[in-house]
Amino acid sequence: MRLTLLFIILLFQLPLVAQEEKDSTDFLKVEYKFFRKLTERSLPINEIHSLKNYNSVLSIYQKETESEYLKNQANADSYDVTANFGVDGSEKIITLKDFINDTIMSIYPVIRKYKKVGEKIPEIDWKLETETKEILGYNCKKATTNYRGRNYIAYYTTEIPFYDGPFKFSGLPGLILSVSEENNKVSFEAVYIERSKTLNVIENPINKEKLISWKEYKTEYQKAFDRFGKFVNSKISENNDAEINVSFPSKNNYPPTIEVLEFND
Amino acid sequence: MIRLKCIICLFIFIICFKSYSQTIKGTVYSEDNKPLTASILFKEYSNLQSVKDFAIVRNGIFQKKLKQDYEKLFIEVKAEGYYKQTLTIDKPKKEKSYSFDFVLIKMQEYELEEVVVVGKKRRFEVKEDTISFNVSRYVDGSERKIEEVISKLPGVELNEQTGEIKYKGKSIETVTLDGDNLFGFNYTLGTKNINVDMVEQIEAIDNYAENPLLKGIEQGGKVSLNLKLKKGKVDVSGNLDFGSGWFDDGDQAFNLSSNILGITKTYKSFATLSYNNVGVNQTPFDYFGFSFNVEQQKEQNYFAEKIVPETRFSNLLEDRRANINNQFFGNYNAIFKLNPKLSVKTNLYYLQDRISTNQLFQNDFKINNDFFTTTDNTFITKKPQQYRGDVEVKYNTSKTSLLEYNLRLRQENIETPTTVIQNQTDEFSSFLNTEDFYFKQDLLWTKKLSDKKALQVSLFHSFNDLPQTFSITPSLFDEDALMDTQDSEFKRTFLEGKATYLGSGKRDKYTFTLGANLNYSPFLSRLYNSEEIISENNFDYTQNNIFNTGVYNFNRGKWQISPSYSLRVLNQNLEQNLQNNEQSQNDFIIEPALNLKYKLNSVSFLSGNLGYNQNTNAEQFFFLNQVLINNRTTISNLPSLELQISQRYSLLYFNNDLYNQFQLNANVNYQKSTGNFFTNQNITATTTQIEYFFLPQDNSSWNINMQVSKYIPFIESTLKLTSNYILSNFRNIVNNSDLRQNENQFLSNSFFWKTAFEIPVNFENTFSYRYSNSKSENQLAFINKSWQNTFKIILKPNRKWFVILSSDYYLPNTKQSDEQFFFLDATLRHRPKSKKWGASFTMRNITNENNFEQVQTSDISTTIFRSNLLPRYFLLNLSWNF
Repeated sequence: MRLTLLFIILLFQLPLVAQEEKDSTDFLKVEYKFFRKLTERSLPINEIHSLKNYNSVLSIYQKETESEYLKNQANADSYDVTANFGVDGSEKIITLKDFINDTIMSIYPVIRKYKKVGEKIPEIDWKLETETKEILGYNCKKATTNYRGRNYIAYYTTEIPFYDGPFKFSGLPGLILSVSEENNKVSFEAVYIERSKTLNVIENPINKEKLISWKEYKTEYQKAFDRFGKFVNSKISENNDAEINVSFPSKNNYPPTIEVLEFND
Repeated sequence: MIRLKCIICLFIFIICFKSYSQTIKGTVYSEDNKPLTASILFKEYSNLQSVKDFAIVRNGIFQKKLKQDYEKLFIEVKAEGYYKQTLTIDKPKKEKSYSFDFVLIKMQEYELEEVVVVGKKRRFEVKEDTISFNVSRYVDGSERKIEEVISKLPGVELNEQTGEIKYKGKSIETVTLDGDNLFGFNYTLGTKNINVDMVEQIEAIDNYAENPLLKGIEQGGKVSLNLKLKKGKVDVSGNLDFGSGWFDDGDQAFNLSSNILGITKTYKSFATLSYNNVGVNQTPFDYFGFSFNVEQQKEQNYFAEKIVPETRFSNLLEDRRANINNQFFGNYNAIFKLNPKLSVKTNLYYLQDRISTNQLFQNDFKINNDFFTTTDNTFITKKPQQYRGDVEVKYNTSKTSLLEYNLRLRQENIETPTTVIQNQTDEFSSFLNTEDFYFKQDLLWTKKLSDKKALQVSLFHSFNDLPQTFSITPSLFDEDALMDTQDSEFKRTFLEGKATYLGSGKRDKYTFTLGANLNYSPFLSRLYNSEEIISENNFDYTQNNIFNTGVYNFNRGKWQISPSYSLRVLNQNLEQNLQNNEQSQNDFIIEPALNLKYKLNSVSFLSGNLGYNQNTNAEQFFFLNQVLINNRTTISNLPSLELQISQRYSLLYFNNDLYNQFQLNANVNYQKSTGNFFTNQNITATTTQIEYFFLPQDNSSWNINMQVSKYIPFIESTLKLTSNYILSNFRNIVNNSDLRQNENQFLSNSFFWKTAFEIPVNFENTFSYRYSNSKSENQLAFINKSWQNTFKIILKPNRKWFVILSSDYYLPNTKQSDEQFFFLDATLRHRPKSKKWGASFTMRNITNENNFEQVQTSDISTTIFRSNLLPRYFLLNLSWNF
């Protein structure tokens, strides 16, 4: 009897074990609370983003539409779980890091269109500090940096051996669980972590995409908003009572972005 | 188990002489030669607590240029599931490049358990279904009212005439203030009056649900705007505008207004007080053209019929040129949040106006080869007065149920003394007094049954009493009589009770309603003079419906399919009390409809609607004997309770590609109705008798609209082409003819061009062309072509000064090029940096055109309509914000 049982267990386990040996992937999912309010006048944006890292080979950072974190929240109703990253819902990936080829693809909305930008994974010049903090039960260490025009404070844990983080952030000796801009204009804070082994092999979609460079994106952004501003100003008639006025967007008066776009006008 | 032989670190030490900076590079592999992901920490041997540098190993490879100097470099290599390795280098040489190949040993017992960590509960809000517009990006301090900013927002259209706002092609439900629905459908109160400076942001809300319990359950697609107000230190803000000047005839011109916005935690209010005599309508009500606003359109079913119409002609010119008014308007809106469960909203209105106009109608008739001309030169003074109060109470009886009660009381009195010179010889004086009392209350209970299901029960009651007295002297009917008087009174009581079940699945939504209603509309009229009673009417009309309706909304990929139906048992009863005649009819009615929407891509969609309806006839067709409505016209009916069968088909293409600054929407509508009231008209040089009779014959109409706009970077301009074509077919009898088939065609095109140059001067031009053709079978057509051109120069030397010069040219009839009109207006505005105050100087109608003329055609005549205008005036305006 015992032998039979053992045999059955073995029978069921063997193929699994074999497969695991062969293809299994270390999978990490972290959900971050994302907050953004870049200028005094802009509306606060609160979203749940998730980072999915497959074997440290590939990681996808996206707006989460089926948040695990929110499943346990009483006020889940008030969260935005619609697929519309940006505006129309056609895209939800924010960044995709390909660690093998050292490439990051970022998708930026530009007036309800999406621009796919490809560049090297940014080498962020982190300064490691001694301060520590506990996030979700993990001991985290502080690191600071200046990245594309803003100063950030990050907390990373060496207890989870994925060298990744939210958005474009990575390159610390551990998993980044929190990043916030010094004046809290942008922040990412881990609220949920899940680790497992998965048999799923994720295909790297980068290769299929037509990517533009960061420089091309900046030019495109500037051009698009110049055109858009002029369109807004020329699309409707001036009121005869002169209560409407033309307002040209002043140079460089574009909507602010997390990564500060510096234009050499 | 740890194998001893593997404890030893395996590394090969290679010194590379070629490089001259302290670079550490190499590989990290597992024993079985798999490249690993790991981290390498660089520490000072004397202080192993602090990490001085680090490197990430990806795919087995690393390279690191060390930033710090080390006395004794301690290197630590870590990878998940492998044993840590360390290495020390004594006094590493700066110019040297070190290369290491690490092979890590797997922990045998290592097994990753599934780890799930969830953060603590913390509240934060996510704006759902919202697109926000930063007011600051659309404003440079020269716009004054928020309406002007709203009209510039991408995807938003503003109807300047009615103030109606459309977002993504849909009429918005309301404009909320910080989420509170203060104005309801009369949101123009807010948009026309709230100053730009009070608003921080405008949010366009895509799936608006007035009732929070129905969010996500209700049929989607409702849109609204939310104004996020500036958070000031004071709870009260507002503005005072004082404008004064002179008209050409020496009268003083005024345009005064003030608004106060008060906000505390438990109270939010907006009040406005205004007076002007320069043709501005600050109110949501239109006493000049008598077009219904959005709220009135929604409540039209509860209104009694107005049998003597208030107005005779609509004006092609913008109201501000022809509306010779004297308007006083006061309005107060407030929400009191008495406790977290209970809130009370109140809206109070007072309006008083005096609109005077001189209108000349010249009709050139051609009926059955009879040619004659009639004229009416009318001097009208219209004096409307309206008092209105609304109360809304919302009570959250529990977390999942909401009780709402709405009450509205309105009293409107309109006095219209008129003098008419008919056919240049006969002078009549008439006086129309219309009183309109309207009362509406409804009680709505909403219960959220689950996340996806809700039930609503509502009770509705309304009452409208609309007595009118029209008197005219001298008498039209008897030479001995001094005057004729037409009394009439329509009343309508509407009662309805219904229950609605709403549900939503993952992709689908559905709504089913069961209910019954009663419409009781009695009518009394008497036309008399001192000598005789000419005509009397007295009928009672009752209509009952027991109904069941259903809508199902399927969302499948790019398709959105919504079939709907309505089943009703209709009972109509018409009792002619004077004739002792009773008609009654029962019908079982099935009305199906289908709406389809196909999303072509993220910026465009195609939608189609089709529907089949059976309509009851309006009560105005139910009186038998004549009613006098003006100095010429009497109307009467041959009543019928027969139903009108109508079919409608429409197709819409909508494209709003903001990235390419291209917008196109085109739609085609076809409507055919079988069973209509047709007119039998008897027209002479002095009288018009109209009898309406029912025939099971067709009327049909086509309506084709297109609007395309594109910003063209090459010329830094937006070009917009708007086109509208209407073709309608109908029948009538005129002066004892046979039943004639008639056709009206109307085409209007307009071409708009506006520049956005980055220089202080910009231009705008609009050219419009209109063509109308009215034709009866076997008769020659009445044709009129007209065009109009508006040209504006916009000067903006800097942020503080602003000038606009505008010219309007009209040619009402291309065959009569001597009748043309030319208007010139100018405004200078100054806005100092402080934004606390501003000043402007306006001159309107500089060429002092006294009259305006326009031409309309019908199947029997060409009508030339001439009306007087506000004379030339200038106005100096000062505004102050607090």
